[in-house]
Amino acid sequence: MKFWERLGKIDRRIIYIVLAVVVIIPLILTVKLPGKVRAMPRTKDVFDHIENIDPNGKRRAILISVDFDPQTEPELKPQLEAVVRHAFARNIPLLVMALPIQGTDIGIEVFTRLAEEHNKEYGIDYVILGWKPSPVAVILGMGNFIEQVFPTDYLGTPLSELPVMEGIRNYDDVGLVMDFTGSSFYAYWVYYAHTPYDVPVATGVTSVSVADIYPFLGSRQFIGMLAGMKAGAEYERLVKDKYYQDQDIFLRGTQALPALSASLLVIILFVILGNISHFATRRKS
Amino acid sequence: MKRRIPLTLTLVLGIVMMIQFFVPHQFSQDFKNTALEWLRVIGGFAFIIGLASFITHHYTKIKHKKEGWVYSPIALGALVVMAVVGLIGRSPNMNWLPITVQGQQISVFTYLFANFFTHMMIPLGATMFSVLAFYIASAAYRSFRAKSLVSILLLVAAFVIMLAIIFYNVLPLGDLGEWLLSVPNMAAKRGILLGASLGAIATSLKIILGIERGYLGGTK
Amino acid sequence: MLIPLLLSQTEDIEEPAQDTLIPSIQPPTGVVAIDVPNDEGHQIVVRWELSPDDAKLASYVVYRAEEGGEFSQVTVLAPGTDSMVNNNDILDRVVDFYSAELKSLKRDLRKAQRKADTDAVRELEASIKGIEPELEATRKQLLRNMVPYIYKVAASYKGYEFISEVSEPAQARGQWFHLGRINVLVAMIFFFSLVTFFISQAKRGKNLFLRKIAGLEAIDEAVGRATEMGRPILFVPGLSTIGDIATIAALNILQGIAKKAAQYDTPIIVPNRDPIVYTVAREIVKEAYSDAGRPDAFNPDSVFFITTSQFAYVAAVNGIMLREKPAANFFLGMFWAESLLLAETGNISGAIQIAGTDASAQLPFFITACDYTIIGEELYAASAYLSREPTLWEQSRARTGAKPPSLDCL
Repeated sequence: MKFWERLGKIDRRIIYIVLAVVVIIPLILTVKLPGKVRAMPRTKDVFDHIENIDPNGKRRAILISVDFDPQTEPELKPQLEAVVRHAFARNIPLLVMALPIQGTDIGIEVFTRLAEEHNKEYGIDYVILGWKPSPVAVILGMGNFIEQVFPTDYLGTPLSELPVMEGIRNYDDVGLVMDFTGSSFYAYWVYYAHTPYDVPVATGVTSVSVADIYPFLGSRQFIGMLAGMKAGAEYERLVKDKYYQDQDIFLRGTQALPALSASLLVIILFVILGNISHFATRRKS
Repeated sequence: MKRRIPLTLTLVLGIVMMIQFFVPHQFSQDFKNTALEWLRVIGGFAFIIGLASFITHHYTKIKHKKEGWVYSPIALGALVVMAVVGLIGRSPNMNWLPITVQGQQISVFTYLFANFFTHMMIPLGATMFSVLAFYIASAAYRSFRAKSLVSILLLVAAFVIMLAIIFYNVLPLGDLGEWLLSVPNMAAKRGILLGASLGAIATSLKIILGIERGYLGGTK
Repeated sequence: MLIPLLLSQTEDIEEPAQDTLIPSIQPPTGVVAIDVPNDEGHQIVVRWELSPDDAKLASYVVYRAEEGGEFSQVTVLAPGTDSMVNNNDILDRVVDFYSAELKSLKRDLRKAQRKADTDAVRELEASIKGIEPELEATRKQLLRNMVPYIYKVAASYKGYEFISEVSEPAQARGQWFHLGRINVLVAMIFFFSLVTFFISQAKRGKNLFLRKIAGLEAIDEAVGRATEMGRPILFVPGLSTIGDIATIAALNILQGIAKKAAQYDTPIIVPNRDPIVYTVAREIVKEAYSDAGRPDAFNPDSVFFITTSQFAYVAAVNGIMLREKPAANFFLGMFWAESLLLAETGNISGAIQIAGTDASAQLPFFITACDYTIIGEELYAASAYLSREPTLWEQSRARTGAKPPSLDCL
């Protein structure tokens, strides 16, 4: 087979091996990309909104819903950690819950680790509400009274005994609902939280779902969106530059970004090779 | 007669459930809840049929030593083990063969179920999900060829979006990518959503009225 | 001068000393209670004008009583709140909880009685005696339909409560028609009228036009290819349940494909993720073989259930594709993240692939990896397209006719 034809019929195993190597090397060698990650407008919208939340005002809390499972952790965990660090830096009370039951474990792990890192105390700076069945009933019920849906936290402590819950009764006291999901839980928050109660909602989603979110962004049903691992890295950069300049914190998304960029470059390279082969062989024929 | 009963049932219940949507009264909600419970019960029975199919399928494979038959005993074994471990381990009152784990007394079946799920099911699912990355690469290499106007558009759009992610600092590219997603993509999504929704309504109506009978089998 | 507006005091605050002046706080006014419309009942919305001293308040406390009965506290709300919906959402859960606890305790009591464990019996009987009145008391608090209730709202400040006037009685009742959905009813009537009109056109023998759908045109080609190569056809009816309209549309197409497979004696493999879809698919394929006049050729093992786990199902289907090497793959129905896994593996096996879904997020993957893709509503038009039956065709025209007014409404 001629060279140009061979170029258009590269064995897929070679593609897989090249891709694997290109993804693994930046992760092992901890490659840093030149220049700073610049945030996209939709990421900046979320950042600015949280910046404008007054930790001592009426709408002072952030309700975080961890609605993803271990399969989508690589894309969504960097986003979650970045937003949590931002809230901790601004001393914004955090309420954490999950709509699918797997989200609770992920939430517990992330918050326990980050709270220790940032000297935040459970019950004072954040509370993990846990999980309750029936997402629609949970979201609607919290619009009335959060403590009636979650009378206790995940450890069984009545919410009324936790200082962080003082003055926080329902969505009127929540400055932002931040939903991290790998499926379509974001739709529930739009339909049953934002629409009836007018609470601002933003979402962090995987890259595959990004295209589906734009209609909601256009109609301002979401105030912003974090799109995939890249948005996690963008948000990490925004938060680090503003609040943690001198601190050494593990930026999960930023560390994985070279691998993501390299894999995309490899795909682009192979597509170019394929097109070169296509044009070369077409010309010959 | 064989088809008349299911068609009549479909017509009557389809119309009743349509009316139910507009009636918020307790009577209507109770009817809907009962219907949903019946659905769950039927689903339970159907699962037994599915299970029988699964066992028969793999038994046949083993019996006739078809290609790949060695995996069938593994599949059947896994079914039995998870069923036993799950049924015993997840029952609140069956604390059989207790062991101490992290200072707590739990049944060995509970421990096994948790570990099988956490250390086998979840990693296996994550593995299958991560294969997607490689498949995207090979699919893109094979398909993104500039063969026609439409494929050129697809190729250019894909390049812009990928490069926008990598090189967002190059302003025009990032803004172009953002425009692509927020204007033509959004328009297309809304169009597909509208078409699919109307199509779903039309198909539902066809089924309720008995015009569409393919799901019953047979052509008459 | 401080006017003693105090009418009640919260329990945990000490009595003021003799020389302490009771603060002057204006209570909320204009308390109105009305039945929540368009619901099954058991809901009353209570609204009031905020107290002029709202900024100073600790909370608002809402009380409820049946006419002629005693008031009991319903809820405590934050300052700035000027309405609430009184319903049984929380109380229902409490009743369920107590009922479940009672049931569990009674079961344990029976066990303890059988074992003649007197200590345990005594303890359990005491627990049951404690829970039963709680359950009764909670049941009494449930909001009942057609019972007149009156409400009052208290402004709470430093342990004192300043109570509003009592509202007019209100009764919760269930409505027989949801007025909020009248637009849906109008749209439905309009659409059904369109359908009826076009069906009548079809019955009159009017000439019909339906544009070409490449994916559906290619079905014959795909089945023919499989027959020539002597390899099977693989049909995946999506990963959703029978309640999903895309699954039903896919099964309609399966009927036609199975019949062709029966006529040409081409093996067909139909793996299923949902047990109910499996039973329906099995019947469809079996009937298709009967219709083709070859009931004995039907292989019951060709339609089977694999698992309900998403990625386990995909792994199984991928294995089938690599082992059996079908010549034609049909991926029709609802798909999620596994769409590219299926399509790309099918590509590896060298099959011609026709995919169709209404999941817009998965369409790019199918378009990239499959030879033909049926997009969104084209999937629903499939049965009409393949059967060429006029009444079904006219349904598609009705759908097209409904689009402009729908867009106008948006």
